[in-house]
Amino acid sequence: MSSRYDGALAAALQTFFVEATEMVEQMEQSLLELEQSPGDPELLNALFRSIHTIKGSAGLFGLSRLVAFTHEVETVLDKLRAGTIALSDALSGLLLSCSDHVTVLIEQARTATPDAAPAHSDDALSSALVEQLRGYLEAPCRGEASGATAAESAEEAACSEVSADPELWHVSLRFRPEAPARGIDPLATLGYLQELGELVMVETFTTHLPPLSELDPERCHLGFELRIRTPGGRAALEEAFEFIEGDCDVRLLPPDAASEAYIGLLDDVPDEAERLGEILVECGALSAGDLHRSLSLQHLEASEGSTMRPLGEVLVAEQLVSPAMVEAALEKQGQVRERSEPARVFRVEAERLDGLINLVGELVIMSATAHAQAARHPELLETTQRIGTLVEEIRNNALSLRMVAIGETFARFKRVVRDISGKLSKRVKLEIEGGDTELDKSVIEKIGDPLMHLVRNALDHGLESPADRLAAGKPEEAVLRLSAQHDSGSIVITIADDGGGINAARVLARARERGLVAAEAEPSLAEIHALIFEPGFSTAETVSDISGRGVGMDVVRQNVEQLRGRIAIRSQEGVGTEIEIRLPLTLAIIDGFLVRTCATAMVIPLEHVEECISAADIEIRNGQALINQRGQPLPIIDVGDVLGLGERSSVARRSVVVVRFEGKRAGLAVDQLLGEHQTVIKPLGRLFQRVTALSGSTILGSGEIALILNINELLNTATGPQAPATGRESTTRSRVSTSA
Amino acid sequence: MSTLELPERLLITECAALREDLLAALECAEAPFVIDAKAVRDVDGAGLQLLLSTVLEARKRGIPLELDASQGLSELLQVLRLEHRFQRVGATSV
Repeated sequence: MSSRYDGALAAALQTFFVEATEMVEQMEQSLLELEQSPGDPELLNALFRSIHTIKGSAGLFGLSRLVAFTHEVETVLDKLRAGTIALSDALSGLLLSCSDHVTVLIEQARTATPDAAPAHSDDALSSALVEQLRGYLEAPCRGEASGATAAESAEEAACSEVSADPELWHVSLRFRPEAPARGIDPLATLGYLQELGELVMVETFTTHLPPLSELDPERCHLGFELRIRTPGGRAALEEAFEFIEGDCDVRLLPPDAASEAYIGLLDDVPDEAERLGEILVECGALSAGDLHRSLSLQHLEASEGSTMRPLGEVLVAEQLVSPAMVEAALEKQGQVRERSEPARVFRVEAERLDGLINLVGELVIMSATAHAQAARHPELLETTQRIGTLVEEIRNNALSLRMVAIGETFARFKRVVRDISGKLSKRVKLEIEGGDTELDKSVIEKIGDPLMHLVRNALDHGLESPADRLAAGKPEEAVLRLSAQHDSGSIVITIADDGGGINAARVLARARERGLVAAEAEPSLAEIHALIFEPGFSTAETVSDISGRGVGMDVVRQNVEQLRGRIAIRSQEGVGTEIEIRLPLTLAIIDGFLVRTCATAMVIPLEHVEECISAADIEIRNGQALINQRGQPLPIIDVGDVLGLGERSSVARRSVVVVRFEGKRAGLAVDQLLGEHQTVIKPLGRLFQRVTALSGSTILGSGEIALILNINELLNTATGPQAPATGRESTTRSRVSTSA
Repeated sequence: MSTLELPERLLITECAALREDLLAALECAEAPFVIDAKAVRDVDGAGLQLLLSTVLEARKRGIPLELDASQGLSELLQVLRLEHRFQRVGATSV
């Protein structure tokens, strides 16, 4: 490779690692899905393609160990795809181990210095896996058609090097629709060719074949790309096609045909250029690398985001073809691409998106500022209002760029469920619903670990062994359901199992033992269930390597709460457990209710606001401020007091905002209500990060800073001491002074 | 599961009628739709094309399709590298 590609390649290599990792994930997913629907041809194809792509790209970068290993895997997958071997559980397991090993190899390639010797253990693993894979190849094939074995040997040849077989011709046939009406049968033509020599590969093209309801069965829509080894040479082949001339487009490529000729084929077969390219590579028409390498290079550079170097330029630069030839081929490919890829996908670094969203956030604030200032200049008001609307749209658009479907995160659990249920000898079916539900990428990234913990927990503690299930009159196979759905501006993720449920008596006993519940207290069932989210709580009798170290559920709750989410649990003994996580769609924005107290602006997340009432009726009972609200005492928290904002304000008519969080309610006494306000959240500075009653800050149109209140913590402050039995430590009052 | 049995001859002369049969069977098919081609002995291009087109139709309708092919048909599909387009019979219930 010439030196001027080095830079591009180094950058492309990074993209390769990302893509290859995705390909391994795809391989894993295909394998797992195949366990659900065995033999699905599309899945088998996807499986093959994923490893084929890794091998091809790895070859480009000279990652020989990766190529060598993936080649072995590919060979087996090709047999699977062809149906000559079946996907047994054992083979599926082996292939999963192989995909793990490919991940290891990719990781090594990423981190290793080029010349570093591989660890012995990895080499041993490689050869052990390869040996097992080869075991499957030696297994007797079903239906040993001569054509099949010939095709296999052709592929072997393709995998290694350019076939320099002097008798090997490439024939491209596209039958015209009216051929049958004139007595031409494509299969008869193939049969005749078979007499002329050995067909080492036949690939059937049905690009123009309509589904049955639109098919005129007497018109032909078949095409073939085939390679034939014949001693008769051109004369014999031309003679063979003389008869069908006019009913079939025939192209003959002699054994010594140059790469140009094959590239030229791309131009000649309408609509099929991409697939043909694939096949030419596969059958070794071009050296197994040349075309592929060119395509990969182009593809990698394109996804790298650098200016896309046209394929032609790549090919010419690599001295594969003449410029004119390429132009013709490319034009055709361009047409195909335009037709077949109406929605193109770009890969964009997450950081760039974050940068964009940050800027848009600033823009929102500045636009609000401009609008506030325009109040003094009525002629500007209309303009600033329109700008405000536009900015809001831009912000919504920008945020939607970062929305990702949760399905991928869910899909990861298939493997987890498979492996863990196998280890525990439980039979578990994983059901996934609403995988296309979208939420902010930053939320998805942070919810993966808590979800993983919940899934492991459900598998380990929630679901019973098959024997226990049968004894309980349940189906032997347990069901674990992961679902996601949108619900009024949040996303709700549910992890439900049909296992044994929570043993309330045991939880209560353990909680009393740990002093989490007073001995005489009689908490409700819901309160008992909520106990499992308490720090250091675990009822599992044995600590397993899967879960049960007692550091789990409280950490899960913390993680969820850090995402401004809530977690709830419902469980019925003997029937199952359902854990519901409710998360905001994005962490960047919050719908808030703006209030002012002690001259400081504050934002109360709107989802917690119930109503606003007058503060005139506050009474003090036993040192606790209360309001009698429709016969119920409602504790009042003075926000200014809690945050230590100094002197009680002298505002005459104060207000109370009634808020609730997880069934707890309280009134927040504030000086002034300013109304609803959608704000872009800014993190708190380090100084304030230990003030748990605040969750963030924002900048108002006036340039003033507003503090976003953490209602959960505020309510704990107010209701903690009275909380019935949960005995949760009351949050220590944090004193903070602001200089807003 | 519903099954349609194909005759011995899968040739262009039979294809128009076979197409009607296949469409009618797909119309009221219960998944998986099984094409019993155990009896098939003679196949020509039109017959092969009919099978491939049925696969497309079934996919369009979301009906899983399985093929129980005679040895001759299997061999043909293998030579033409088309076997991966068909699900073998029983594959979904294994």
